[in-house]
Parts: sequence; C-alpha cells; structure tokens
Amino acid sequence: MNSLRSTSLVIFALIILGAIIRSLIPADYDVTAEETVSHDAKKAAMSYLAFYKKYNSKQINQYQIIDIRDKYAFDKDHIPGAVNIPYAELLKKSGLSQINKKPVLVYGQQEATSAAAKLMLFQLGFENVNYLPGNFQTIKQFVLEEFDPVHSFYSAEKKQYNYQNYIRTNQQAAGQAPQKQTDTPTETINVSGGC
Amino acid sequence: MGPLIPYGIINPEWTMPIIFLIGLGFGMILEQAGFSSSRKLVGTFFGYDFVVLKVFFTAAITAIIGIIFMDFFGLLDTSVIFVHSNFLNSTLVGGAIMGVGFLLGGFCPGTSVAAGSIGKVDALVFIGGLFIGVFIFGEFYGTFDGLFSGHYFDREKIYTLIGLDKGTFVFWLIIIALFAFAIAGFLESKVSNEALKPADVKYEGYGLEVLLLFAIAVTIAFMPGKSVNTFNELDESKVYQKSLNDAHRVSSEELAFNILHEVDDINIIDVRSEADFNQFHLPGAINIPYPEITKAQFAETFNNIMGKNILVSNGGVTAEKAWLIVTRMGFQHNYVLNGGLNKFINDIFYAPKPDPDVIKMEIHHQYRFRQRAAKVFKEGEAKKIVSDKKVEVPQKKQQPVQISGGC
Repeated sequence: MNSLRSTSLVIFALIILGAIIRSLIPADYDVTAEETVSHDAKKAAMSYLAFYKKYNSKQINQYQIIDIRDKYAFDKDHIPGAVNIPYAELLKKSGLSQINKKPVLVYGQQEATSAAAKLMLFQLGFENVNYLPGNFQTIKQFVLEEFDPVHSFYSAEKKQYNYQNYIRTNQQAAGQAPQKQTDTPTETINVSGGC
Repeated sequence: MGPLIPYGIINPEWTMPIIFLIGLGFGMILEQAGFSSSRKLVGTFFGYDFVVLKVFFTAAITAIIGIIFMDFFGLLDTSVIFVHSNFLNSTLVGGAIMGVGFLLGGFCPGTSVAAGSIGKVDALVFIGGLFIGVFIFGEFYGTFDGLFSGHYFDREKIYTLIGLDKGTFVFWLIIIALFAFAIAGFLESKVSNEALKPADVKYEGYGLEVLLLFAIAVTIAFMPGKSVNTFNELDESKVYQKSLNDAHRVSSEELAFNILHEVDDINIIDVRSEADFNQFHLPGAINIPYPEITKAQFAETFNNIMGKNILVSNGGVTAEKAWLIVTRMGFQHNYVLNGGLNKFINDIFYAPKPDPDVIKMEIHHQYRFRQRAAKVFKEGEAKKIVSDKKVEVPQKKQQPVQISGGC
C-alpha cells in the first residue's frame, strides 16, 4: 500500500513539474488558427485603388514591399522599391531577417501564393501584413502603367463566369431530361448478437 | 491527439466494445469499493460511512484535473467533447426522486446492477422497480414533456454562470473537496457504528496528499489558459514546406474526371459564402465557409482519412488560405482546386484546340476529354463518360459486413 502511495505522489509531482516546464516553452505560432482565420476574413487584401492612391502620393514608402517571385522574374521587372524575397526563402532566416518593422505588402506570381505568404507571416507575429491581389502582370497593367478605374477592386477570387450557365446539377436538369433510374448496390450489414 | 474517436485514432466501430469494457471496469470498481452493500451506501445519509461521497467526489476531481492538464498539454481537444444540454426542471425533479429512491431502496441505479450481478435479491427487486419507472416514463412521455424539457439552457457551464475563471473555479472546488473529506472523516469518528465502519488500511496521516492536491489546485489557478500549439498542430516550417510545391493542388481535369465518374472517396468542400454556395455549387459539394473552418464540428470532415478533400473557391485564393489553416491544424488529405472555379470553367469550356501538328498525344487526349466533359456538364447528366486516358479509378468494393457475436 505504501509503494502505491509513493508512486501516485511522484506521478502528481511530475504532472505539476511538466505543466510548469510546458508553460515556459515558447510556442511556434504567435496566434491560434481561430484568430488567424477571423482576422484574415475581416481584413481584405489591399485594393488596386488604395494601392494606386498610396503609390501616387508616395505614401507607399511607409510600406515594405516584398516581391515573392523568383529572382529571374524580379530582375526583369518589379514594383519600384520592392525587395525580392522568393517564397521558397521567405520563412528561412535569410528571408525573415530582411523584413523590418514597417507594414508589409506582398505580391507575387499568383494571388494564392501572395495570400499564403501573408497568412504565414501573420501567424509568425507580423501583425501588419497585407498583399496585392492578382499577379505582377495585372498590377503592372492596371495600376503601374495606367490606372484603370474599372479594375479598382480586381481580384482573382472574383467570380468571372455565371457558373450555373455552364454546369447543370442533376436537380436543375430534372425538368428537362428524364432521369435514369440506376440500381445502386445496397450495403447489407448483418449484425447478429450472441446470447 | 484526443478525443480518440473524433480524431480518427480509434475506428468508430470500436465504440461498442470500448463501452462494454468501460462498463465492466465500472462495475468491478463499484463492487471493489463495497458499493454492492446497501448498508454501506446509505451510510452517507446516517453519517456513519461517507465512502459514496468520497469515491464520487474523488472521481470528479480526478477527471477535472485530468481534463484540464490534458487540455493544457494539447493532448485533448476539449471543444470536441460532447457536453449535455441542461434542463433545470427535470434535473431537480429527477434528483429528488433519485435521492428518495436511494434512501428507501438502498441503491442507486449503477450500484443496483453491481449488487444484482452478485445475486442480491433486494438489488434485483430494485432493478425491477427501475424498469417499471422506465416503462411509466416511456408510456406517459407526452404528459411529462413540459416538465422534461422545461427551463432549458444550452450547455452552460457552472463557472460561466457564476462568472468565475475556469482555473479559479477548479481551485475552489478542490479546496471544497478537501474540506468535505475532513468533515466526513470527523463525522465518521463521531457516529459510532463499529460493525459498519470501513476497515481501511490507516495511513499515518494525509498531510502529503493534502499538500500535493493543494499544489495542483494552485497550479491550475495560475496556469495560462491554453498554449497556442495543440498536439495535432504542424509547426509553421512543415506547413510552409508543404505549401512550397504544387502537390496539394488538383487540376481542373482531375476534378472533372472525379465528378463525372462519381468517385466515392472524393469530398468537395466549397469554402465560399453560403449565398454563393446556394446560387451555384458543384455536384456533390458541401459548404463550409472560410471563416468557419476552425469550428470543432467540421474537424471530422477535414480529417478525411479514407479519401481526399478538395477545397474549392472562385479563384482558388480562399481555398488556398483554408488549406493552409486546416493543414496547420494537422488534417491531411486536403487539396485545393488550382485556380478555383474560374479556371475550371475556363479550362473545360474554353479549351483552345491544340495544333494538329503537336506530337504529344496527351495534349490531344486532354482536349478531347475537356470537350466531352463540357458536353456532359452542360447537359446536366453527370454520368459515365469514358476518358481516353486509361485511368484506373479505385472503386470501393462494397462487401457485406457480417458481425457475428459468439458466446
């Protein structure tokens, strides 16, 4: 009985010790997944209109613009004042050390990658991160060369087609085409109990 | 890691055997603690034996400490644990009936079964009464309904009702338990009924235990709410490594092929808003809007062990973000429709006819597949079309499952 008692006492002591140690270890992320999603869902990407205004009034100098395309594409052409940190190096030490305290603006070859870069940086504790929608070609075409007000709120995420005109689901087509009755094999589960 | 069944570590088919084993263990412990004796049980009411209070209070405290620490270490996702809704009226009435029945009959439902299984006649009579009660309640359910579902308040926890912090509440609960044990011990020594006194092995003193329990209570009171990383979570470098290549992206043709062939283990998750989803969605898609993907109720959907989840949005951007988050949360087999629905329509319906001089046959096959897919999608008849590519689609064989129990 005494060994049981001492064992349980040791286990309890270990649990307390573990809790203390665990609270001292820093976490990988600075924000939880829930916080990331709720923050990101509220704060949309910077629109071309906002970017154009800042770009013209030189307010853009307050931002650190990061080009996450590869070096070749960056050398060919880029937004003036941008720093090149390819996405493949963004989270390495060499990449992170180049980002200073300024608000960060990310753009790249694909909107999905820019958004991913923003999300990754936000989860690492960079609070003021944003990205430009579209890719460098659209930014160049609609903002840098000549601002096109039609594309003030351009985004790859915008609906480009009326999808329902292209893809009819079975319910929609039911009125027009006779539905074929198909026999689907039914799963038989035979459960027999014992005594 | 836990709870084990919702996170897919234990197959749900094991639920029943596990319940059976836990039930056996529970019965064994009841019997071991002497709970098959009604004299011992009702001792709480007469003050000569508080073993019922001690056992159940200890069980509750142990469970609370276990859940809090496992939550803290990230071993248990408490948001997934099922919590019963509260119905105040039925709880009060049921508690009163249970108390009176306990005092009169000398058993509570669980202990009556434990005592019945070792052949005590009074326990068997008690179980008979239990079934009569169940029968009456079942037959006159309509009459009792107002009482049964009265004063409903949803899954409210005591500490939020009182307005206390969880840690502080547990701290006070442990202190109350310690005092209750001390008072029970004092009363037991006052009320003399030597024949029925518990014949425990006496320790010299409970000083160390009390000290440790107090230390645990203090630790819980000062523990930070929850660490940011849970056990399942991938750290950022792993998520980042996965996001570097295109392995998590699915092409328009691959998705079209899967829809047209109605492949079972493909699960299309539409992360757009509900309004967009209602206006149009791909055949067989389900809707989980992006702001809601971290909710516990969708954990099982994202944790698709047997198949593939394909996340879909208009342009693939929101889907990519959702993918990053669910991957961080430790769910595998999630994929993104590359370029979203926009690229899907563009690829399938506006495919440029390849130059006939192109030698690579794959390009011609792809074009022909796109044209057929477009035709089928337009006609709304998502049935068989045969692709030129000889792709073997793994079809789940539906075998009759036979579970036979023996004796």
